[in-house]
Amino acid sequence: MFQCRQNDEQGFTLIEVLAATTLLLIVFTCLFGIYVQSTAYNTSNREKLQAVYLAKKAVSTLRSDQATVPKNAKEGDEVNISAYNLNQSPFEVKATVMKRTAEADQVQLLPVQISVIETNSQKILAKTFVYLKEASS
Amino acid sequence: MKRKQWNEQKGVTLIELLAAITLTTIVIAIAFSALFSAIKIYKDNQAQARLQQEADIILSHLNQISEKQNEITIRLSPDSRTLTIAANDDTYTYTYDQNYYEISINSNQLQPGDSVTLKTNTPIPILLYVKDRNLSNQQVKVSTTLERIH
Repeated sequence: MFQCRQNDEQGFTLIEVLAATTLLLIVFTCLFGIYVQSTAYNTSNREKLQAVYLAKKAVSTLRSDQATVPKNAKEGDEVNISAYNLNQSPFEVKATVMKRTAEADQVQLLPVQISVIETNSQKILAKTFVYLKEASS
Repeated sequence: MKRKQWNEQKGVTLIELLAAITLTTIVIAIAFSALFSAIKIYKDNQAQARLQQEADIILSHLNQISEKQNEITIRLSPDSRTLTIAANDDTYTYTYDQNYYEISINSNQLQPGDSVTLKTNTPIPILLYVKDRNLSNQQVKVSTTLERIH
């Protein structure tokens, strides 16, 4: 009886096996995406960490080297800070004049926004600001 | 009776068997290569995350101490695997089997086994590398300045 049943079995056709394999591969590929995602998150976390500390360095350097903003700079103007060698691959540091405030004007200071940008994607990774003196001439 | 049934079995031909083995091998090869690259990516990610956290905590401690204390001592063990940050009453030691550290202060690299004492009343430019001993492509580099906010 048992033997009889065994002979009745037809097994899987090649098509069935291939279909099963394809489905399995699709599932594997989806799971693999998790690793790709986690790599991407790791990279972006590392870049943020580096960018935040680079912004801190930029603020400190500009303040201690007494960087100045050109006279009569308007909100949104970019300040040239290339002399301070703050760019560090893959990041670049930009300084933009922010809105003047009455309090800061009294002591001839201008708020300047420091942004750390990833060069390839042009994405802003860190932002901070510093008060800089306005150049006298 | 039993004998007869046994002889009726057709079995598989050598060609069928070879085809089945080939297909199975291909499937297993694909599955395993996916598995191995997943393991590699997992290890790389794990190492990267560990190095990042290490760099983050070292820098946040350095920042904290430089805000509070007038002097700060940084010491690197001879094998570069232990970094110690000490001030009056705070001492932090960082060590992990797989990590090693490189630290430059004012563009001078701190040699293994050396220590340096810094005054915190002026800004201190710092370049810190946290690297993995086994995975040479894994490292975190952070460049910053320690400064007191007056």
